Amino acid sequence: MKNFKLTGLLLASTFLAVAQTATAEEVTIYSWREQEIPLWQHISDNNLIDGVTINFVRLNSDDYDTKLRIDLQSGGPDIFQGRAGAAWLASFIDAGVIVPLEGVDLSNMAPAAMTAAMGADGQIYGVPFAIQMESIIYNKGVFEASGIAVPTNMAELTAAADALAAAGVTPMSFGARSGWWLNQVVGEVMTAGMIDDATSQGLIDGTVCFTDPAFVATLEAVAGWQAAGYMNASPMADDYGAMRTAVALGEAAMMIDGVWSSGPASPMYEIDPDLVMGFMPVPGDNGKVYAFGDGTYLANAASEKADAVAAVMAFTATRDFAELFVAQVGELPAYGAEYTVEDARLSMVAEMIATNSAAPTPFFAYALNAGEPSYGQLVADGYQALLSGGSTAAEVAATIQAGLNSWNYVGAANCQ
Amino acid sequence: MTYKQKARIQRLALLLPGVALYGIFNFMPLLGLLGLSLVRWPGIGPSEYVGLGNFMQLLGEPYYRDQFFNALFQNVYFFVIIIGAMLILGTGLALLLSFRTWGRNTYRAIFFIPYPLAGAAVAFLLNMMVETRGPINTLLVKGLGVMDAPIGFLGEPDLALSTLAVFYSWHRLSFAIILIMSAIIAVRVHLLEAAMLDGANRWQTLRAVVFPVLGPAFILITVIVMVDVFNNADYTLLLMGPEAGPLRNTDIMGTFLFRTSFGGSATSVNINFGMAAAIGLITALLILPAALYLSLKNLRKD
Repeated sequence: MKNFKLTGLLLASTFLAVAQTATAEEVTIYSWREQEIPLWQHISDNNLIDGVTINFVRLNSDDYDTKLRIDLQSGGPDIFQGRAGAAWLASFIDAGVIVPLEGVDLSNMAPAAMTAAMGADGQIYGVPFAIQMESIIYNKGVFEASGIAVPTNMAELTAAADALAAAGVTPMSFGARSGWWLNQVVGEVMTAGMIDDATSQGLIDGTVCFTDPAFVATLEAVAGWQAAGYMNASPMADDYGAMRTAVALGEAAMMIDGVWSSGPASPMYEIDPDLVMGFMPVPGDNGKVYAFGDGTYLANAASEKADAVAAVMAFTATRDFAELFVAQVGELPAYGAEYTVEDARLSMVAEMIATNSAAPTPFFAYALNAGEPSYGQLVADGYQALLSGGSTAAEVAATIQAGLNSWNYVGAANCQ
Repeated sequence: MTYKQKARIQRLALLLPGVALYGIFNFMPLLGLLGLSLVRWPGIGPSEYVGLGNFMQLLGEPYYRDQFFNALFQNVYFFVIIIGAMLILGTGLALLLSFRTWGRNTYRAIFFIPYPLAGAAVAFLLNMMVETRGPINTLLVKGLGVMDAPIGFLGEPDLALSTLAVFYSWHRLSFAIILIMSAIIAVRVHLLEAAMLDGANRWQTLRAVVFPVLGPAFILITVIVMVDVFNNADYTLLLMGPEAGPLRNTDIMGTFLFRTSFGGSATSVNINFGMAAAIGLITALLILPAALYLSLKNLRKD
């Protein structure tokens, strides 16, 4: 009898589910983020958005832009993920694919994440989806083995590096073959750690030049680490993967990297499943970590399912979504108000972002990247020239300034 | 129907599939490229007609012009290493394989193994070989102890492009070996016998009888490789990314074209399919005369 009831219940729920999917509208989402597959599967399976099922299409990160652009010529997805910043959004805005976001309450989103969704005109075009932190990441086991406390200023960092080097450990692992890492991670983390926020903002506004001693000092610090032998022997030979491998193996103690490397899906745990990583800012005068919105959910203005799309977009800005995001993706959402984080590592990162992250994000600043060569390009090239011994810190700073001046960026008149 | 009419129909019918396929997949896109090169278009939305603006920007603006000439010269360098390796090593190995030496078929199989592999697989395989933790660096630093620090084959600005050229050569060498070997086999045996009877030694026989026959094979290899390395950039794109690091030292025409149409990084703003089309057309124009000259020379010989 009990079994019979159960079967009846199952049957009834199946019917219900079928009935629901029959009326539900399917919204297609394009993404390059593999880690979001379980999240959207969960949302779709549990009907968390009324009357909407999700068809989450994950494309390869490398040719995401290519496929997205091609598909948008014939309709394309209803919603797609965009990379952070006005530079990436520009051509989609110009083409009318995305329009300023309306009807979504963004008041609870973290302010640091909003630049990810902001167009060059200052309007918000999407809902930011993840907030990432970048800092020095260190192998806790290596620090403990050498009896090293987390450095809180540059002198302590130097002392720690000396102690590590004496113990036969590479203090700092650099993967300078990866240009994207140099501009998006190293440049930004060095700035957040060593330059006070007002001066960094001045770099973006053009009131402070890149030849300013404060900026040159960030380059000198990196060159100094290399000169003092605190870095792997040939930083230009190692790429991002090799850099992480060295830290995971314990051959190196520290690296400058994003919090994503400590997430559950990080390949570093394949090398050492018991690896424990700690985070600290570059302990310069500013002493802050760097936080940024990783990207945005964008609604295709040409989608025929406007209501369903609006429902999904609105859902991505809610606390429910934020908590699902933490649980299913293992990353911090771009949600700024209170929400539950059960994971100890993530709650610590959330705390650091909330209390000690730098506000200016030169890499994503449209004013510095609106022309070519962009700031991002110049910084990547600059660090490679620095680390391959081709240029000094001052020369790199001058090259960055000259490159920006060549397309008359906002500070060109001020920094000739 | 007369015989002549039948013959004409037959000729047309035989030509049609080839012409249609070539026309649809090669010739029409080429014409499309011509149109595309006259507009400014980021890949979505409306395009803006700029006439020869893309060409003028490419050759006039220092930012683009420097990249263009850098990519072009590096592409020539890349090509020279590859074609040198293919013709010299390829001929050497083909000759060795053509002698009736012991284990010849085994060697032939070994040389041919890389060729059917996908470019991406070869790229990552060889990348693993030259990494700082890879077998080559381990041997140099720990095994033989001849180096203090690992060599950054793909990280050092001076080495990266040459390393990629070596990758390419390793992958496609067997293609050269096969073509050269088939040419060697075509050498008439009685000519070789006659040379030997006349008292020529092995080297003299090679120089006077075999090498002259290899000309057409060399030309064919040169043309095919040239067209490939000036149009494709699979190794650079896969291993170094569209920014063609370090410091654009591995930038060749294919990567420059890719970067122009799809952007090099998250901060790329000037994405323009029209400019990419212009780069493609100029590349085609640059290699066309050489390719035509070599092919025609080949035809006349036959």
